[in-house]
Amino acid sequence: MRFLVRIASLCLVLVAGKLAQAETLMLGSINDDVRKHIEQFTPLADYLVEQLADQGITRVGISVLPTAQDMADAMRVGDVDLYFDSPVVAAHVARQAGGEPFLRRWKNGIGEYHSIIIVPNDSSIRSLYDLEGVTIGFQGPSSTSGFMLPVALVRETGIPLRELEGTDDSPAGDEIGFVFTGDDRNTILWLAQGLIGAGATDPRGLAWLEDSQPGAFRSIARSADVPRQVVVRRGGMDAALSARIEDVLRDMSDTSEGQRTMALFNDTTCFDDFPDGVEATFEPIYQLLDELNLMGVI
Amino acid sequence: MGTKDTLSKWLRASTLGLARRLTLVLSALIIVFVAVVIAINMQTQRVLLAERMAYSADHLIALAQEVSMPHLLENNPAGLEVFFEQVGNQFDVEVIYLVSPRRWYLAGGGDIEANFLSYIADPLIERAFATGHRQQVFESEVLSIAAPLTVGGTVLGILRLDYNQKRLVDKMNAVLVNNLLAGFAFLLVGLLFSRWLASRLSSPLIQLTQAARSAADGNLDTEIAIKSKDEFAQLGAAFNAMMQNLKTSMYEIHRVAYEDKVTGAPNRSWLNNQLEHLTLHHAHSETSFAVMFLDLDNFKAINDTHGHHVGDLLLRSFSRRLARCMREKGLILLDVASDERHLADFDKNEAVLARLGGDEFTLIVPSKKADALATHIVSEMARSFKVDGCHITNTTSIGIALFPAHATSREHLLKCADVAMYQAKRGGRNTHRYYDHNTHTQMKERSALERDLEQAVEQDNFQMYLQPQFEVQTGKLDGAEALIRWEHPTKGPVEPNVFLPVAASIGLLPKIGQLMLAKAIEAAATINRRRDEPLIIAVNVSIEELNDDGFADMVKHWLDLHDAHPRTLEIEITENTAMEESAVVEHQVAQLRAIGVRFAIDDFGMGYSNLGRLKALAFETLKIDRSLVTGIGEDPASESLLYTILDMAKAIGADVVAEGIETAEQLLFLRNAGCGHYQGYFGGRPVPADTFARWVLSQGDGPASAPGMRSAS
Repeated sequence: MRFLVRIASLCLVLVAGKLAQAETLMLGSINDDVRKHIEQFTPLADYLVEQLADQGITRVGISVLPTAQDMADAMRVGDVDLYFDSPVVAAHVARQAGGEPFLRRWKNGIGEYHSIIIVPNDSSIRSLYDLEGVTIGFQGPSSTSGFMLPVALVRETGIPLRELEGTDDSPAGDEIGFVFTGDDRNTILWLAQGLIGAGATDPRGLAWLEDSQPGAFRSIARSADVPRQVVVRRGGMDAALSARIEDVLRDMSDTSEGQRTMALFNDTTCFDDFPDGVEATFEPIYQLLDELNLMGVI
Repeated sequence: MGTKDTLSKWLRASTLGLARRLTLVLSALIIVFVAVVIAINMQTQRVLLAERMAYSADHLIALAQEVSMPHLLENNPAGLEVFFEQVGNQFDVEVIYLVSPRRWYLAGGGDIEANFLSYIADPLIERAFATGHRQQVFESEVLSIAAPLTVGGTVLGILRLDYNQKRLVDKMNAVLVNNLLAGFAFLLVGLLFSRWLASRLSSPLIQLTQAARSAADGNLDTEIAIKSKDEFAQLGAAFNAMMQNLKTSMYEIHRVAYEDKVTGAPNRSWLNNQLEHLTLHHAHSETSFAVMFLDLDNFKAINDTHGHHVGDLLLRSFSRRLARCMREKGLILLDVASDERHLADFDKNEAVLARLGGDEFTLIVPSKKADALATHIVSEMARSFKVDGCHITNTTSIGIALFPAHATSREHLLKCADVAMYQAKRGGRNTHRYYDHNTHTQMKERSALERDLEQAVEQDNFQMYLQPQFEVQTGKLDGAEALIRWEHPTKGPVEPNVFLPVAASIGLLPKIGQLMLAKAIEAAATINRRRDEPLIIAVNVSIEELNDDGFADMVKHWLDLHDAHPRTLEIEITENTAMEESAVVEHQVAQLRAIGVRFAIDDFGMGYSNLGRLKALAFETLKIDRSLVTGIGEDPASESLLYTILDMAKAIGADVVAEGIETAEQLLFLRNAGCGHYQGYFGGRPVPADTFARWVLSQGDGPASAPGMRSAS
């Protein structure tokens, strides 16, 4: 399955590469589900090709790649012009590919979010330091809220972290064990099932739990806020085109057609500038990346 | 007939009888057929859908179990999100979801609003957990299934599916609607087709019916064209043949009925039809036409002379010439070919020639052509006909009556034309006359008079008046002239000079003469029976009477019968009669003279007398006409003529009676001139015979004066 996705992605990239030279703008996304992502991006692509016609853009393509490394490579060689993702991964790809995050993307009315670490209400764990000898569940290695932000929080305790074989495995008393659940939902399911002692999720996950088992869980730590999603442009993009893209995306919420398009584009609310500026926003994120790099996570 | 009318007629005809029954039967068959097809189709659909639902539900559950199991084993229900979302989008899946053993909602699709890990309380799920087996309920068209996912007897989760049959039913209803629509369309097409088929099958019959009806109405030109090669076409051909034969027969019948055998021209019946039609149809129009009545002037004589064979040939030639004359005047003659054909359009110069019978022909022509045509015919007919080797000349007289000026009915028109024809005859024949109302009135009066006269003769309604005659010198009564008087039953006294010419024209004069003669003889006998000097009773006798071989015998018979002396009877004949050299007349006169009957020439001086013959006849008396007497004292020529006549009378030894003496001066003249006798108002007016007789008897012999009479002395 994974092999097939890679082949499909490569094909798209090849086609896109050829066409990019002929006034083609390529949009990029990292995911295994190529079909779903192409469906999600198509309304935006159609919108952009219409809006950017004055810039000589005759086609807007979509490139869905399986890994951040693939995306970084594609951006570096100019196969992907615009790339959409959560901030930490996006920052990672941008740094590697020489690209630049330039707009914030709101989703479901949320412009910023953070990560929390929750435990059952009746647990004796009160702080991160109580996590010694406890297994914590993360979503997956490329998840910003499900892994990167919370793992940085846990690392601040200085307690050694070790990835376990599975939930059957247990950490030693002076270390924190962690497992990847694969999904935010699985994290809270496993937590609810008692398979793990703590779980990293975002406020939405806690809301689900509050809804189904009110008062059964509580949060013990909260990360800093990061943008919900960001848009990255490749380095060396034509300045006029880049400026025009920035205007078009930013102005989408001003027109009903733009709003309709954003709603179809995976519940996007709007695009706007980073309130604290690009550097102030991404400074901590790059530091986080450095730490994760030291951890060998990335 | 308009298109609309034709269409509605066709529709009406095609919805009656056979066509309607055929349409009904075909429609019923189509309706049954469509209903059966729809029923079968629906039943099949129902079975298929039921099977499909059962299969689909089972299949879905099996698929969901297959997909869900690895995720459950990996404790990764989040991975099922996409799958359930897709399955939930299927139209017949109302809801599908997965519940953990703790009744937590793990993943789902369709119409479910449950948060991840929210608690699910569902009786079906509880039963599935309790039994470890699949549970299902069918309620309100929804098939609800709860299927456990088990590994080694342990239930890892329950798959819950609500499979909505209602959507299938909706779908089936849509199928039903489609079926019904298609069925209706088919029905509509079928009905139209059946209508078309029925009318196609029945239209030849309708055509035949209409044609037969048309033929029954008398339209023999009816023909039908059936464009097929079946029995209908044969029937149509047979019908056409029948109509052709019928037409021929009808024509033949028609010809026999309406054609004159002798001349080949239309006959009286046909003429009457035409005239009847014309007078009816042009009663209120401005059309004017003329009815011309023709009669051959001498046909009877020709028939008598040459025989009927030649007469018939002449009629035929006459008819042909007549037709030619009409054509030469630009007229088109109608023949009897069809009784539907009526003379209608005089603008096209159509005309009719018919023979009424005998030698009478009648024409109907446009008024404006009548005069020229009549002149032309008269002149053409004056030329002789060559018939059977003989050259025969026979002129014609034509009477013309105009519609509507003279008459507006058939009978009246013919009558007027007939009258006009008689007027033409009276006008000298070989000419034409338009009907004249005044003349007609006179004719009517005359014919009434004729009838009355006949009756009067039959019933002897005449009276005899006697006007006395006197000796000029002595004034002595010595005779009387018998004069006829007729008292008409309604009109009163009718003058003899009015009714006698009429009586003469219808041959009644001899009979009237006989009546008068008998009366006169009787009167002579009665009066003279007691007189010493007999009175001579003079009576007028016409040539026709004298021409009768038995006249003398009859007179003798009456003389004997009444025992009257022949010498008391004087027979007056006119000068013209006297000049007639007829052996019969002479014989009769001779016989009567032989026994002593006197003869007088009446109205002497009015006619032309052969003096030699006058002498030879040796008549006893000359009666000088009153016209000569009126000139006395005024006209010397008349007086000198009177002298001459008196001298001549003296020379031949005849007595003279002067008529019309009204004055003493006249009488004096007569006396001086030596005239023997006179008669007139001066002496006495005519009085009824019995009054005269009584008076005479009361007076005795000698000079006398009658009542209302002046004495001669």
